[in-house]
Amino acid sequence: MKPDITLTEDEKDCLQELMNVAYGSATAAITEILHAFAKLSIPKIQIINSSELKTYLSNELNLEVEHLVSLQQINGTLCGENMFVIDKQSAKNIAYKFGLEEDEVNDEEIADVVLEITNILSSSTISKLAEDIDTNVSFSAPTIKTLTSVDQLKNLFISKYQKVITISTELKFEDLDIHGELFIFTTDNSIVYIKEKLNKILDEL
Amino acid sequence: MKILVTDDSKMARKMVIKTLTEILGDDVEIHEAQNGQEALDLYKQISPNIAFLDLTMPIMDGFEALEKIKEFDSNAKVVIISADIQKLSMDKALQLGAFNFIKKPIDLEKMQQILNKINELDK
Repeated sequence: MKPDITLTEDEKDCLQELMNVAYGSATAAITEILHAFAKLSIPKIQIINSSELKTYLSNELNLEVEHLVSLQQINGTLCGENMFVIDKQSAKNIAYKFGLEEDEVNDEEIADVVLEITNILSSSTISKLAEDIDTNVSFSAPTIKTLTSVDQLKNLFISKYQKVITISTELKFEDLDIHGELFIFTTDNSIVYIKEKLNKILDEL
Repeated sequence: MKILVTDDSKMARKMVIKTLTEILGDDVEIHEAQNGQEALDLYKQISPNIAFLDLTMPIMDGFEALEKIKEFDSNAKVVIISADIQKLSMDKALQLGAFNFIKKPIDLEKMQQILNKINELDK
């Protein structure tokens, strides 16, 4: 029998709330570093076919301007990939906020800043989420590249799977003109595991 | 005691209600709202003793709802329960007149302390 790779409305709501809490604490960590105020958004949860992932990302991202994308593999029962996407100007603005001067901000420094943000944001969000659903995860070192089209995302590990949960949430500092988006993609087996754990949480309420 | 619980997540509302009933027993009348606008409308109708508000919500967020509830009733006891645990968010909520702020996930002891304080004030 094929595993059930769908989420009911209650399961989606439960996962959204867990993400909300996990992302809230990760964002607070970044705002402490940047001394800035972030506007939090409601996480979006969707299950889509892997084959539709690139179309989904094309619709979600405005790639008319150059973006930086940082990818990191998640290993464990909760297995998948996280992707932090930020436009280059936002990344520069973060670099300034980190104290870099205009003449110090080059591609290498910007990439470094984005990797640091990805590390803090995604690792703490996913670690908290993993803790909430009773599991452990480990992370591969993030890689970074510039992106002007989703076709450049050739090596998405997740595309090997049939379905993916996409969890997306924004990082938005209105006063600083900084806007980025974090996507978490998980695999078929992970969806089954997450579903089981969500139901355990829901049953206890 | 009438309590208003506002959160866009059904699960989050259930968690708050579960915590409240663990502390207060079943002798409470709980009303639920899914966003700030619903909370404001319901607040005006039922005048609850305490209103629990999330911050990140669609239609009307918790900051705006808090501001409008306080405009309508300056004595309103609004407690924020949020995952937005930035210091600035907490400060802003308190500045707008929130009675207190509870970080998600809810700490039973903190909730108990807040309910005790409100109870003392109502005596």
